[in-house]
Amino acid sequence: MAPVSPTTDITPAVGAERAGPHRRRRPGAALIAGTVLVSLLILAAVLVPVLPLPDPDAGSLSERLLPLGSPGHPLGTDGQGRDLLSRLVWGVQPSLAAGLLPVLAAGTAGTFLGIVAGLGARWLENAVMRSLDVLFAFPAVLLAISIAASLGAGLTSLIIALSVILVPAVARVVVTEVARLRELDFSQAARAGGARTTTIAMRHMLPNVLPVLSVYCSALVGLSIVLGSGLSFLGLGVAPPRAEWGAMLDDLRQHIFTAPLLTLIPGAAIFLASVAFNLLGEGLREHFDVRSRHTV
Amino acid sequence: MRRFLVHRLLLAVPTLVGVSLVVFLTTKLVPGDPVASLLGPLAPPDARRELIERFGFDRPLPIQFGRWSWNVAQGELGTSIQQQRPVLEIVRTAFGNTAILALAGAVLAFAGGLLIGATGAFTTRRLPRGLASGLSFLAMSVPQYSIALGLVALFAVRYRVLPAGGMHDPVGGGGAGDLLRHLVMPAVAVSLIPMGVIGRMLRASLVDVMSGDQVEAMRARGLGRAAIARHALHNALPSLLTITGLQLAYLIGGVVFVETIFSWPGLGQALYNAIASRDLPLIQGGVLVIAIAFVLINIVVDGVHALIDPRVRR
Repeated sequence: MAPVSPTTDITPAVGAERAGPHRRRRPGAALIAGTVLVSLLILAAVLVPVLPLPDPDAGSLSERLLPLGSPGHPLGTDGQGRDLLSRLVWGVQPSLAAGLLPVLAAGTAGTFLGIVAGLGARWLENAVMRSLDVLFAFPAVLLAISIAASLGAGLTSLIIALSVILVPAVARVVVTEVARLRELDFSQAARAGGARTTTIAMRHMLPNVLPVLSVYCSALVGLSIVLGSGLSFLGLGVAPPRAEWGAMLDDLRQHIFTAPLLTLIPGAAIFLASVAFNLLGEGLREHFDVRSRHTV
Repeated sequence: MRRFLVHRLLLAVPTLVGVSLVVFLTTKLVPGDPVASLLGPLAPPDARRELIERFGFDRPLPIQFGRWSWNVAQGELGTSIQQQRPVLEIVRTAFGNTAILALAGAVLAFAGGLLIGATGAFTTRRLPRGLASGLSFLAMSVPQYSIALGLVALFAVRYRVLPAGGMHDPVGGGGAGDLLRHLVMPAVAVSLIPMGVIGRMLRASLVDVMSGDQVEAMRARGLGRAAIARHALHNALPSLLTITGLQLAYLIGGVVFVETIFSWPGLGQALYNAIASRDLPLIQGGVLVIAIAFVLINIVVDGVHALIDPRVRR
């Protein structure tokens, strides 16, 4: 997992010149599928309070571990008799939060660091890059675990931990892009024309970095969701009574020998969310002809 | 070659210092009073003062860090709060078991990735091509814990063909065959994501090589498809190796989930138990050991890379 150790090399796709302009305009299957799935997730997160679902936290001892397709509980119930479909849909919110917020935070911090390193003085670049190397020396999951364990359980510390581990990945992408861009004619011209470094950063670097970055970040959201649920699964993220996929998975795991099928449900939901954002990232990459070698 | 290795090893020193600094700082993030948590809230002030002096909590942070890393360098990782045993001892036994799992996973990931990547790059027929790219995409997206629980539900509970957990059967176990039976599911679970990533990367770099002049020239000289494929693979090998090395990191990260689910007695499970009981010395020790191992793996990968590709020896 954690896909957060990128070998950095983003260049226009090899096949770009082969695919004509006509073909490039039309969104590919991956982009369409990704957009649809992600929209559904967002829709579920927004609409869940008004959907006709049973209370996700109300259990019933007489209805424990009902199988799939039970009347009134299409996805069955968990060990405390709570409706799994309802908990699954309510679980979209914390998952999207764990996916989007860290990527947003890390995207901002990483872009800042990357541009500073790419345009700043040599010592600044070295300082930033060496610090990133240290963070890269950790398997991302482990770093997240140790930060989250130190901060204590809860959605906030989960989001902080995920943000920290995503920063180096984003910063690397930006540094590579900036290093490429700053040699190009337009930024050389800006520099020769006496533009200040901040102007070059805001006017010339940022707009050119953003497309590549957005492609990379949309795939990072999938990763962040998977890691976030993983931390909750380990007991480090969202606390148990709240409906969250990773916590649900941990809860249902206790009953795997009596109700093996139920365990698959939250696992499949996390998988689906991960596929959704990876498809979106893949689709955007194809669409904008960005080939990335980042091991997401 | 020797100069390259020395250089690479020297570069690892600041990284290792940084790694231990990060691990040290996460212990300092912990809210609450560490002395109170050791002695209890009603401890006499004398005992408190003694403990504070012993651990050096009254010293400035840089000095505390210096002391701590001096201890770590000597293998003194502290004592596990939960198990009341030296952390080093716990971590040492667990490390070997994790290495077995990680190695098996890495072999599977490499073999599967090679197959997927080569199929995707060399076949011109639609079906196997699409299959290869679809499979690698799905493998890349599946969380280790989802697939691990799915495997248990299917093969251990529904069909009862494989053991649900542990490393050996409690009765009559211990042989290599027994270990292998226990190893299959966890190894598959940790291998899928790296397999998908390796497959995709390999395909990309093979396609890159195949569209180059070199392949054109080989075709012009009448080389067969198999010969060309062999040359292309040879060219893609260095990047394949680097990617596999990087993927080991993800694999090691995934080990925490997979070992927990399969009760594999490795570092991951030790970490999980340590988290559950808030056993910070064990958490930090485990994380530190894995991070150091990871830095070393990267050095080995770079060394092998330099060995097979003279261009990177600078």
